[in-house]
Amino acid sequence: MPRAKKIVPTPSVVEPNVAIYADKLTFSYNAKSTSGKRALTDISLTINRGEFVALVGHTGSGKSTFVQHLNALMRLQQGSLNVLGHDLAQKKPNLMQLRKQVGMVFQYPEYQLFADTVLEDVCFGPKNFGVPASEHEQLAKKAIELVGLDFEEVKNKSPFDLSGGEKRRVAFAGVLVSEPQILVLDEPTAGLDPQGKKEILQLVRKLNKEQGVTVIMVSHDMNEVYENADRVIVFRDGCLVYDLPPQQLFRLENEIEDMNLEVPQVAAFCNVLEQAGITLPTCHNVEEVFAALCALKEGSNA
Amino acid sequence: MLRDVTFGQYYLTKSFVHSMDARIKLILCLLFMVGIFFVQSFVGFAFVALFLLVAIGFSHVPLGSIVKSIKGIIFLLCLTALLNMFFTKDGNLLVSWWIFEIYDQGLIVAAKMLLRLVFLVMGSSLLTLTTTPVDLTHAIESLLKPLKVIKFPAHELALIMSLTLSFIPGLIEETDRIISAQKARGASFDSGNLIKRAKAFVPILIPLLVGGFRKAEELANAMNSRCYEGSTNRTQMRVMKLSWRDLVGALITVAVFATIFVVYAMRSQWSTITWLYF
Amino acid sequence: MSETTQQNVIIELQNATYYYKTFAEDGTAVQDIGVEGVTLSICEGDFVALVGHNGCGKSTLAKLLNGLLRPTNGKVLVSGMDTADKKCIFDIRKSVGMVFQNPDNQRVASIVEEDVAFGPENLGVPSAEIRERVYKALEQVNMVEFAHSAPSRLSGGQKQRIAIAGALAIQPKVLVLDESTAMLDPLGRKEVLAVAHQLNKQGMTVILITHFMEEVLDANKVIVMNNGHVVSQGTPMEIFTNTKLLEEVGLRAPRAVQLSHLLHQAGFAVTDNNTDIKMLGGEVCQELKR
Repeated sequence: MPRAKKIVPTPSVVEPNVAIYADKLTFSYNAKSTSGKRALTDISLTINRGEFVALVGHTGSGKSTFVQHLNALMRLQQGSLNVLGHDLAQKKPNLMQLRKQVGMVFQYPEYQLFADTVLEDVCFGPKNFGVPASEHEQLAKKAIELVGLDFEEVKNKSPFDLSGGEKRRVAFAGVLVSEPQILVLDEPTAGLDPQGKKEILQLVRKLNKEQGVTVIMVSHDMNEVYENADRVIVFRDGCLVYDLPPQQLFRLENEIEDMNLEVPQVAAFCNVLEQAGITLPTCHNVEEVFAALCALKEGSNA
Repeated sequence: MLRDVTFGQYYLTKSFVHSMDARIKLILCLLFMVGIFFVQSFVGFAFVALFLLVAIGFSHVPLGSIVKSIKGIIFLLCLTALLNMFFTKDGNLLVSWWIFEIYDQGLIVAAKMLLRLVFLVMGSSLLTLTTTPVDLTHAIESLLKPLKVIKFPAHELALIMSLTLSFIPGLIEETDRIISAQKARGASFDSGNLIKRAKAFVPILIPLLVGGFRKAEELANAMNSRCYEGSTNRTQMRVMKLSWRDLVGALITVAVFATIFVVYAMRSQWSTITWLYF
Repeated sequence: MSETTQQNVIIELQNATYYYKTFAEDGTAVQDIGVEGVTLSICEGDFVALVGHNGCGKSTLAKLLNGLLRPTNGKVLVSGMDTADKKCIFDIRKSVGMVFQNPDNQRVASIVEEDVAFGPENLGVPSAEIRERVYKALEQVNMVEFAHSAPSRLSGGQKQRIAIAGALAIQPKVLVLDESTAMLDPLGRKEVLAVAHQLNKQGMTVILITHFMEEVLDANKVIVMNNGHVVSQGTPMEIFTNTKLLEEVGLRAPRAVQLSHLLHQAGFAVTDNNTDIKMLGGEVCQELKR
């Protein structure tokens, strides 16, 4: 088969601080037919450990397909991919090890809960990954407390008896329990109210900043992206079109609007000021902009 | 795969057969399926083949698409042929090896059975290639309507079919997602013994079931909000009308199978007329 | 439209209360508050936004509006008809069209035009008129070209517009969008909102249930719910500026409003509660350049 040859093993130069290395990754759902529309074309990128990356693009832009490669839910077809030192060009990568290290929270993860009790559901991962049973409860306790729930109170409850927001946290705990080094989130805040959104994003930021977890977040909400990510990767029609820090990316207002994406409010504000020659220090959110403006005004008054 | 369930294997084009009324097509297809079992001779099969070819010609569906439908049942075809070949102990013995014996009648019976099944599949796929599942649903509802007298739930049956058609794409997507999500948590579905494997599906089935109830509730609310109250006083947007095409199509098909029935009846009376037999 | 002097009340809730029956862990029946003691009226031609966090009772309230739920106590009147009166339920549902959250779960047919036809078919409308209604409804949501498509192939926003068309085909006076934008991406949300506002301009009463405060901006009345109670009613501006209230109920004003309010209070010469971030930017520039 000619296609097999196109899988390229990762070169040995991949540095230890690299979490994800992809080179010319190409994928199509109908691999046999040459006319089959490609879901991904020549994706090359390097993501370092500890980064907070947002993946942005419309439905069908290829971001979900890309993300599913990261723990081998999609098999490599062309190009090379290395995730945390696992070379996915290998015929039999260590799937269990890989999936333990790359946690994946799918859209509406609460719809994937299944067990009788919260504890059992959260322990599903460790059980599958062969973690000794004696450690399960300890790990589950840590994860459930991490997502802000009371372990003793919820552990024996049915996950289906919880409120919507609590269900989502339990689902998060079911992924975090394996202590992943990379956390992939597919629209983690979809369907939540503002308070729920805020709490989930706080949790993700905390994991990223305090525990050094590499975060890859797929999102449609540009405000959310701007306010949280260090780096934004834009997919369009299966190609990587931008890979920039949010402050730089959203300066390109025309290009962003051409792609039918929104310019975040804070970015739009900063752009207006910048055009008038006023440059603010890097601001992520309304509060930071306000503080910066106050400082600026005081400075000019003094 | 199953993703295109809305249109089934519908082959989008315009043709004589496409524009025929789904009810007529459905009835004629049933006639065809029954009729084919009354064909006894190879001449008869040639006759049917000719009819099928003409029908396919008028449907503008490439012959390849129809032949493709046979692929799916190739195993069944082989099995039927082999069984007929080995278990018919009639006529002259041709080959004998170990416990296997093949008689000439066995070959003939096997060949006829094979032809029958192939034609059966070709005929029914001609129906599904030229009629959308939605049209078929309407046809079934309309044809079963008279059974309302005996309280047969024709409308409900059609509604269930319609709902199934519209929910399947979403369900497949959701199943995919749940499988991926559980795999990402280390679940594997292809290791261990049978019981272990069966158990591995619990984390997929439970979320699907729970999701099913959730969907059902929202659907019920949506249907109630749109004034659904069962089949009483219901009307339909689509009015099915018969045209000259239906008449022509029906006449030809009926004529073909009338001939077949007549030949069948004659053959059983004068079974000595051997040319009809071959 | 709120300025028109004579407004007819179309929906009226009088002390409406709904309790869900659930079971505690020991098996005893308990009552959970859905909504409690809600009194409010909605006028013809209004664009009302109903906001609150998840589980605050806004969806329960929505289901009371067309008799999907009947109040445990109190009354819900639609054009004077009581939703508790079984004889009126058909007429009530004919005047209050409802669109739900998940576009995939409210579809009855796998072809767009057939799905839209479901309502009028149930009402026993003659075939030719059904077709007219279906195409008019599809026109209103700008989806005529997809009449023969399979909804499963459409985007979220398009699917939800089809669902709206399905409600419009019944020719209701009120359209309730029960978190119909919650599952959509920003583009889809914009599409659905545009349709809602367009319909409102043509005289439709719209009740939009949401927790995206950006969607509330153009409503002429906002109702805030918390724990099953209506805690505040007013214009979007009145609600947005009530920072304390918003914090209490777990909502946030749009970012532009937040920033302009903060700046205004800190003594910047900017318009208070500005919804236009670019205009705010311009004002700040002028201020800083002085």
